[in-house]
Amino acid sequence: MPHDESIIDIHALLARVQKPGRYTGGELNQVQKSWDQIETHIALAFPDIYDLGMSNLGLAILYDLINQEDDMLAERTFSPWGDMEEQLRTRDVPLFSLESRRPIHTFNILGISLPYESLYTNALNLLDLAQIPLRSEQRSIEDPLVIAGGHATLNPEPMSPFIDAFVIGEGEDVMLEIIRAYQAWKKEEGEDRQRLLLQLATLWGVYVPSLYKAHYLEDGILSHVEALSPQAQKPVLKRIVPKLPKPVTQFIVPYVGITHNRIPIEIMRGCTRGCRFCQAGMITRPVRERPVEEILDAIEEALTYTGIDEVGLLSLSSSDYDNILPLVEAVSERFTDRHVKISLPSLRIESVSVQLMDLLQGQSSRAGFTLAPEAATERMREIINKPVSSEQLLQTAREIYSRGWHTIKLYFMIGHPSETLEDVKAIAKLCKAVLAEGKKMIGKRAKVHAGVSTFIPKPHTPFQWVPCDTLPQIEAKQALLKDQLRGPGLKLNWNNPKETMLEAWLSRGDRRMSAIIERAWQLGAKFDAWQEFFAYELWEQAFSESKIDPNFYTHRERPIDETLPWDHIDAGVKKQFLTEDYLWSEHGQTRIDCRERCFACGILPKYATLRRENPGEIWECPEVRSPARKINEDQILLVQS
Amino acid sequence: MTEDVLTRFRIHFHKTSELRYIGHLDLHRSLERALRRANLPLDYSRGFNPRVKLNLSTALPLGCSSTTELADFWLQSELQEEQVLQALQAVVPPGLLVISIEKIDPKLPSLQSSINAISYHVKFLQDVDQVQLAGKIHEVIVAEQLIRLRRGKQYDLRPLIQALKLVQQPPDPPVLRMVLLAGEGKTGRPEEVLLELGLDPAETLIERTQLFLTE
Repeated sequence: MPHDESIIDIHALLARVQKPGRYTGGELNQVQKSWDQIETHIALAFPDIYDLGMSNLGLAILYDLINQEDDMLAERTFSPWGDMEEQLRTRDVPLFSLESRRPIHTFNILGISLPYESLYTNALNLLDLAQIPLRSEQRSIEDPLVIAGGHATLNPEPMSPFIDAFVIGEGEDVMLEIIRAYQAWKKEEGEDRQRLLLQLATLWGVYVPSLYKAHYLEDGILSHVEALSPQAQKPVLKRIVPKLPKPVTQFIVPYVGITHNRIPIEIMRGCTRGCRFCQAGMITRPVRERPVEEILDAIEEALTYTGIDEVGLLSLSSSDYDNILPLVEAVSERFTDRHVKISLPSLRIESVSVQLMDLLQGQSSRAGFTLAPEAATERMREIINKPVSSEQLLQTAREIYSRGWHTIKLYFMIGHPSETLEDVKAIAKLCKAVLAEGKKMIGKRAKVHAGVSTFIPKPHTPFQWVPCDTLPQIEAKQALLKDQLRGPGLKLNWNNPKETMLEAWLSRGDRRMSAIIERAWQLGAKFDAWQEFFAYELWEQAFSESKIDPNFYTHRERPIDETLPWDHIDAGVKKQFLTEDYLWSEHGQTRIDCRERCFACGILPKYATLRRENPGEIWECPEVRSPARKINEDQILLVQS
Repeated sequence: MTEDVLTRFRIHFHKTSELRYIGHLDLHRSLERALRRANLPLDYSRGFNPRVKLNLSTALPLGCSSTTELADFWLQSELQEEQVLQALQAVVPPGLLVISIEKIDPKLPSLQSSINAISYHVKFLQDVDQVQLAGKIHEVIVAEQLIRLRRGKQYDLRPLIQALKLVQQPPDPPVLRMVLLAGEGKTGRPEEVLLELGLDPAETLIERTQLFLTE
């Protein structure tokens, strides 16, 4: 490494922290380019520790993609653990990148990954450690352009003052467009940040929050969001890639153990099931699959590049992948003899799933088999549109126990709309019924582990209007479960209801919520996703110091005609469809898999050109055959829901 | 696979640069992944969770580099040493330098149990008062026992120190050399010796330089 004063000497820091391997960089397959010869430097940040950030596929995709370009480089940075943060702060060392150990504030662009809301305070802390002004309006030409993307940013408003530009939707194509726009601006004059922001605002899938103003009614309800400049699109349509690009295979191989020590291969994006609580299922449409051969080749390549012995085949609903059986058969034939563990999460409750796992796990140990009925009564499952009969669940459970698994993990949620205590009791009853089946087959070895989380209404879903359970409601339901879900072979896990509250405030918050996030961070809130650090009282204090009532965001049933803080963000699915689906839910009316019948959720008209250009199996949506009139992409962008 | 095609190999490697910050289990995992990338016919343990058969020498304290690490693994083949060396050198992670490889008698005792002493060289990041340090070293050497507390347990450090001296060869900066006992339940740790000498391990660079094996 050349001698350069901007390169940070880490030994003195690392000798004083617990897990120094998080901060060294230098791992196999890391890309380090010659700093001075590269025009544009991009820092990619995951605002939690290395262990989690390095398990994130999105970050790996962007890293790979940017570093394939000759005139740009991407380096990584993560939130330091407490001991390292203390070292950085007491020595006044700015947060640095792992690859070249340069301060993050010397990069051109900082991209922050925001897949979930409990990272918000960490994102602020990361900016602060990087010595970058927190608020977009305070940043000068000396500071990097700060962009953010990830599922949480489909409601960008709570974080809007802190981020210069958000990526709405999939980052693969638009990331390079943003960097190209940055380069063009820099070449042209590169002095006026505002001009850069205006330019970025014209890109499909980019939301520049400073170009919008929120207006509120006297009662505090959002009136409308105003676009302040002609460049500001309204709505901002979610970006998608028409076809999934080739999967990343040359993954960085961490020296230290991380959260998921596995090669992640995304087999499919999106979900056709339409579970009404599921934000991912709504915002990742349309469903696009990768061909079996491409997946097999990717596994082969990644094993060669990394030597990692576990592969995770990722999707929102593995069972729905069109060629799941041929895929699993091929994977099992090619890789299980080579001591490679294959995981296949998110399987449907049906006996085929057991057959699939059987094929994948071969002779290895069978720890636990996971199923997610989400609710325990058929009525409830119809409301959330996850219609599975209890008999089908029991049948699948019998199959699982008979094929050598001793433990079944069942995931449920409490707090679904219109849930009663009877529905909650049914969770305990159903778990016991499953266990009883297990005991009949394998005796006392049979176990059921119930994981019960609490439903949080999310933007862009059919349940975006519904109130979230209050703390006392959640506590009462959890107490009931703790009382009834007891006994040999039964285990219950639940979420801290206060953590649920935080996620509920943030996920449906508006711009005013940003003051709460900032204040909570000032008071010391960080690592909110970590049970041992989450401090509810800091958030309570932040609310009490302000005029903002947290219940306004969580426990109020929002009228259908209310303007929602994220209405100017178009996730592709029409609001009219969401409204209809919400009304259907109230009658327990369900929708079948939309592979079988299109329910006109709105994706096709919005992305008609893309679909026409990518016909056949690439999408699960019906084909758009008739180019009745010539539509160009600009016009499609303007289509209102 | 039958037992008679099993070959036991011992590699000698350096652990340097970033790798000095990697703990023992992580080093094991890194080496295992390298062996897998090299596509060698590895031998696995039996049972439900087969693991690569790979043994490392005595754990190196976090932050220490080493020019004397050893590891044993087994291959289900009679590949030549040179072939295995080349395959491995092509795929090891940065900071792990494979120096040599040899086939060894499969009946030899395990690496861990073969090591009875280890030497370390310590360099100082800050200037040290050599006279004062020499005095401290003398105190340690003449002491009958040195009771220390580590992770809530009392133990006597003194019998674990076989040799300890400050070596000065101008113009090189001074180097503290030590030989510490190794073995089950009686392994000396270099940073404990530094603490006993009143030195802050974070202000030093420790390198393991030699493993003493029983014959």
